[in-house]
Amino acid sequence: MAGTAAQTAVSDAELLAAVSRRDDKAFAELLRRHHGPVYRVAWRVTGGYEAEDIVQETFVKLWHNPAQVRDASLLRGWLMRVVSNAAIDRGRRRRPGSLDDAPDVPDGRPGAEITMERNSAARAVDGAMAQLPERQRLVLALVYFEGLSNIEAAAAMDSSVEAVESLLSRARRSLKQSLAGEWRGLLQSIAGDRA
Amino acid sequence: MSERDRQRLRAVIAAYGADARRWPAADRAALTEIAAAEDAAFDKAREIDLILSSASAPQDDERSMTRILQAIEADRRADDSKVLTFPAIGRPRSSISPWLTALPLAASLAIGFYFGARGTLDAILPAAIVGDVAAVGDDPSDLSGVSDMEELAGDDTT
Repeated sequence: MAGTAAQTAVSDAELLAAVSRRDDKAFAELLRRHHGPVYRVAWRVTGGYEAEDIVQETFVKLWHNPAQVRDASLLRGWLMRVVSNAAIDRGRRRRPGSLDDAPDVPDGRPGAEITMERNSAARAVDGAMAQLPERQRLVLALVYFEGLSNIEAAAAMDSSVEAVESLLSRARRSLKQSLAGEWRGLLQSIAGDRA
Repeated sequence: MSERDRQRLRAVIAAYGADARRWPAADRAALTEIAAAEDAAFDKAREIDLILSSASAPQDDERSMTRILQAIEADRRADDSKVLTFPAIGRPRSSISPWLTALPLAASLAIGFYFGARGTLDAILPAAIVGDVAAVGDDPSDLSGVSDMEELAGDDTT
């Protein structure tokens, strides 16, 4: 792998081929390209807990098994499926949590600092989202926040498009129901912040 | 607008929100045309979109990437340390072709057939090898020993 300028022109397919030859510079470039969405999905599903571990697990799996990605154009989908499965698995093993419990200040672990906009509306929304079932949080993370298509999200979740749409509807409905008491106030607060 | 279209529009709005850019591409064009009639559903979906947009977002974590790269580097080092290199053991290779080795053996076999067929060596070989052998035309009683029965019965074997 040559310099940074050359790397930007290198396709994911070429980088994957280099990774299968144990090229760690190619892996670092793939990591730089795809870390953000993978990290955000892990963070949104686990509420901050163990997000780094899950992301590490995902990329180490890529390092060990680059041949599992049969087509480089499917790399993002592959990563999303691995991180989704890992996040759901981890979530089932730990106690039910709340984003309010998530570490938003350094907790001693490397990388635990997360800069978040923490006004009261955001805290309320984060708390309501944390109460959603994990698969509802996952589908919101994939489709609403990361912009995956319904087909991509269904593939990532080993599910059908109909199931994805049903989960999305339930997630949005549940969110509104859990915030029903403060709905109008939240809307005014958010609109006021943006005015 | 048919009831089916209305149901599909509601399902899409409920799932993807009010922003048509988020709708499935296959539905977008058709649903955009009939969407105007569904203002109430749109209003509700827009509110939920607004609420969702205020959720916290983690920033991309540089230290998470560093941690992963360190794990990969450690993994690489562990792999390298597992590789044992042995000195190459030179396997002696025959300087002549295996066919050349087989040639004397084939010649010995041919010579054996030749002398055996001519009987040249019968005088010096044991009778068990060169003596009479049973033939297809022989009397089966001779071969079985039945013809010797009378002679044997006359023997005093007690």
